[in-house]
This record gives sequence, C-alpha cells and structure tokens, in this order.
Amino acid sequence: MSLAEAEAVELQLEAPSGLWRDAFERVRHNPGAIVGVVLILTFVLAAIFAPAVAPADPNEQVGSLAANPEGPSDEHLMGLDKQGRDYFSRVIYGTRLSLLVGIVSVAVGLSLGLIVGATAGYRGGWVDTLIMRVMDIMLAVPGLLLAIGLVTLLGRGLFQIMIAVGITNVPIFARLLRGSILAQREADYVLAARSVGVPGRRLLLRHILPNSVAPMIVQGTLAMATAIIDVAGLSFLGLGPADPSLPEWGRMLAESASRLQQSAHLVLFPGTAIVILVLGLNLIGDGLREAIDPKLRA
Amino acid sequence: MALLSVRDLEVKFLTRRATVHAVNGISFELERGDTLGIVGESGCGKSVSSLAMLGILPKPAGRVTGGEVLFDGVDLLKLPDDKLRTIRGRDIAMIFQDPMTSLNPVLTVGRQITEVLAKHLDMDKDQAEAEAASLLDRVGIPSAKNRLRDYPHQFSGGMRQRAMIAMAIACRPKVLIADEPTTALDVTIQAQILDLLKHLVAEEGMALILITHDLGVVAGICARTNVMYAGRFMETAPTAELFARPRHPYTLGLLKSVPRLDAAKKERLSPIEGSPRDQTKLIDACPFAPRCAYEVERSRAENPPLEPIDTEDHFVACWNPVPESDFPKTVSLSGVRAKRSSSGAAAKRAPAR
Repeated sequence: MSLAEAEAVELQLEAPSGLWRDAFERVRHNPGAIVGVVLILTFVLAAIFAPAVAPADPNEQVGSLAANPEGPSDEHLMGLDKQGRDYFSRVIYGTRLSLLVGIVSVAVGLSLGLIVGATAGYRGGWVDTLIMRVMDIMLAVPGLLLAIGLVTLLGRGLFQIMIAVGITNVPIFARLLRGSILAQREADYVLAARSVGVPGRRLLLRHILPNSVAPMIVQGTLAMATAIIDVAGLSFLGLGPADPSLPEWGRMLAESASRLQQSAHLVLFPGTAIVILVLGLNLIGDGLREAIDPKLRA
Repeated sequence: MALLSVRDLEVKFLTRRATVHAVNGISFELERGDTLGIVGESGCGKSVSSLAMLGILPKPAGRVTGGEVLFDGVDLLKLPDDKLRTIRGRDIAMIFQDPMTSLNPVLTVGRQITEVLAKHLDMDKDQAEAEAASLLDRVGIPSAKNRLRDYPHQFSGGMRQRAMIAMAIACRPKVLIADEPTTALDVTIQAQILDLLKHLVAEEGMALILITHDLGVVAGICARTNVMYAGRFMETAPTAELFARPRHPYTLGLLKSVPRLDAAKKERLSPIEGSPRDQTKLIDACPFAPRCAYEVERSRAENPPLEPIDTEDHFVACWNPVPESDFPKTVSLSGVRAKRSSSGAAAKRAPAR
C-alpha cells in the first residue's frame, strides 16, 4: 500500500480544513465582510458595556426640559432630548434593544422555519403541499403588515413584537430549508446511509439537516437586519414596546420626526445607528453567502 | 437452499408521462462465496435491481411490481421497512459508484462507520471506534486510528472508496453488492480496489454481486457473469466460458467493442450500432433485435426465453445464437489475464436514457 501511504503523507502536509474553516478563510479575504464584522463588533461591545460607555443613565434627566433641546456639544456628544436626557446614552442603550430584537426574532423565525421546512421537505407529498401553500399565503402578505396584524393580536410589548417579527420570517426560512433538503434527499450519501440501514428520523437529523443548514445561516444574518428595521418601523408607527422609557431607536425617531428642522440631531443619530447596524449585518450576510454558497465558489 | 435467490424480479418507474419498465423479470441465485458479475450498458437496470432488492428504490416513482427476493428463505420484498432496515447493512451491504459523493461531507469518516456498528451490532462508543479503526486498517488506510477523525474531503478518491468498503463490510455482511465500485477511480486505484474486494470476499466467505459496465473488471473477479440488456438477462455463464464462447450477439458486441490483450491481430474494435431500446413500452420481441446482426424473423415477433445452451450452466436468450465461427479470435497469452480496460466502450458510447 505504498501509494496509499504516499497519499497520507501528502494529506498531512496541508492543514486540516472543514467547511467552516474554509468559509472563515474566505470571509477573511473579503474586505466588505471585514468592515461588517468590525461594525457589528463595535455595536455588540457597546451593547455589552453600555453602562461603561454611556456617560449617563439613559433615563436620567441631566439637562433641562426644552422644546428645542440643545444639540451635540463636548459635554453631550449627541446632545440632549426633549426630556433633557443624554442622547448618546440613549442611543447606546438602544443598541441593546435592537440587537436583542434582531437575535430573538431571528431565533424564533429560524427555529419555527426549521421545523416547518424540514417536515415539508422530508415528508413530501400532501404534507409538503399543505405546508408550502400556507407559507405562500404568508409570503403574499407584506411582512410589516403581517407583523402589524400579529402585534395587534398578541398585544404591545417587546416580547410580542419580537415574536411577531419572527413569525413573518418563518416562510422565508421554511422555503429555503425545504429547497435544500429536497436537493440533499436525493444525494448519494443519503442513499448510502439508507443502504446500511440508517432509519428515517436519524437520516434527516444526522445526515440531511447538517448538510442543508448553511444557507439558513446566511439568511439568518440578513433576516436579523430586516428584523431590526421592522421593529424600528413598528415602533415608528406607534406599535413599539409599550414602556415609553425604553430607548428604542424607532420610537426615538418617531418622537422627533416632527421637529426635524429644529432638532435634526434627534433624528440623525438613531437613524444613522439603524443604518450602520443594518449595513454591517448585510455586509456580513453577503460575505457569508459568498463564502458558503457552492454556486459562487470557484 | 441458496443464500440469496432472486426470482422474476420486476421493477417499474411510474411517472406522470410514462411507465419505464426498468427490470423485467430477472432471476439468479447466489451461494456463500459466490462472485457474480452483472454487466450491461447504462440504463439497462443493473443498479435498479440491486436497489430494489434492498428496498431503497427512489420513491415514489420506483416500484417493485413482481417477483421475490429470498434471503435465507425470507422474502425481502414482503418485509416491513423496519425489519428490512436491520438486514440492510448487517446481512446485505452495498458499495456505491461515486466515493466522492457517497460519504456524508459533514460527518467524520469514523462517525459514519461507527454509526453502522452501533446500530447493527450494539457496540458502545469505544468498541465501535476500535472496530472502525481496525476496519480502516483492513481496507488499507494507513494510520487508520488517526484518520477516523478526518472528514471525507480530507481523503483522496481511492481512500474514500476504501472507507466506503469499510463501512459496507463493517458488520461482516453475507452478501456484498458493489455497484460500479471502480468506475469513478483512475486505473491504478481501480486495480487496488478490485484486489481488495477479491481478498475480502475470499477471506470472509461473502457472496459478491459486482455490477459494472466494464467487462475487464468482471474478468478479473467474477466466477459467473450475467449480461443484462433492457432489464433482462441476455446471457449467463461462467465468466471464462462467456468470454470464450459468447452465444448472445449482444455479449459478442460488448466483447468486440473492448480492446483485449489476448485478441488475435486481425480482430478489430467494433462498437455496437444504435442505442438502447426505449423502455417505456414492453413489447413481445427480442429487445436487442433492432441493433442485432443475427436477428431473425422470430426475434421481432417473440421474446426469447433464457434457455440452456452448450453446457448446463450456460444460458442464453436468443433465437439465433452466435455460431462458433464468429467467436472472438484470441491468442494464448499463457497465464496473462484479460486486460482490465478502463471503460466498456460500447456502454460509454451509447447515450444514457
């Protein structure tokens, strides 16, 4: 077996690499994705260390109440809001909310989508048809509209909003997973696994699913961006979290939109924060897609 | 009673547009230690018949519509799926054509082998790992123990096929079905893999069914060869007999389209003209008739049965068998075996359906 030995030696020379290590390498060489990672890391750090970063408590009145609050200054980086609270601190604490909203609603959408999509894709037949038609109906309703309906149904509250936005994401995840399961189901290794007697459920969980989830991760990153926009949108429309003291970016926008000409900073800073956070997530998502999607691979 | 006995197996693919008659009543028997080759061009039903035996035809289109597959006296086709699952992999195992895609890319090679061991032999993790390492060692993978944690993409094609073989023989199956095990490999590796299969079969006393379009592969391993065309056996005989005295025009055509080391100088390579029959219609005629030089009137009117000819274990389904004067002319090579060619030229040329 000298040939096999030669092969072995040759293989040991190259560093071990898996799908994820591969993907990581590709992301590393993608400047856009790096920018995205840096942006998101900044937000994440700001969220975690908000008490240290923010100069004041977000709900503490540090200046005077004013119809036209003072703008950015050395003392208050982003100025004050109408209640005389430090605006920079509020934006920083708002990061916590936005990230939480993004993560939880995507987790909800992803896990429901995973169950629904896997069932449809693996069972096939009428189960598949039924599930996918329901998903089509959900997709036919604009996402924000569906979320508004769900919030009305579930009630206003941070948790309810995250669930609502998560549910609007279910059909997207379900379709995506169903598609890749359908493709994997016919793969040779699945037939090979069946030929050694691997039972159905194990086949799905151990063999098919792990090979089908890569596109879900990409979609998850992108969905987090839309979820943040959706929640900000809901807040802007007055359907945000019921507690008015929560520094939610969308509500901060809504509260000051009418005074855009007098106190531009009240709109500018939370607006910019949303844009940058969403941009960062999209950059990462696109980078991941390029790294994982086999169609884009050389 | 035979270890495995297939009787009148019929498989159809039902699609909305047409019904494809993939396998139309094939029968054979297999004893311990037997090596049977099934040869034929792409789409003739070789792989489908083995998938049907194991109950893993692609669903919902593929159906077994008739016949029985008796394994140790039990009809596999009538077993419920959970019973059949305990036989698949433990008693009858299969090796697939393409080692590049037949291993799960996200599981380590070790996990894929231990999975079989844990399922069928109730081994615990340590036992299974030790056994998996010795299996990999057995199929010729160096430093087997360290390779268990490797992923399939870290293996070369030949090593992956070895790993597939390790998986298939993990439970010491009584029947090993190898479906084109060397087609995706290059020639040097082909020879190694065939050698390995040959040794394993001899040592374990397994019965081997080798499915291939490559006559050279069959010549090297199989004691007996069945030639398949359009879902039927056209000719079946001991391999040496089949190569020396092919009585079916299709067998002759296959032999003539492959270069042979022992061919006389005057022999020319000649492909089989035409392409395989449309299998959506089942007609009562010899399926090979339209491409056949020996065709007689009866060939177009009636399907010839598989009947003994010359010796008692040589069968042919033909109304006008090849006469002795047309047998391939060979010279003696004194001990050199027929060359393993890298392709069945005829099979490659004919478009797959």
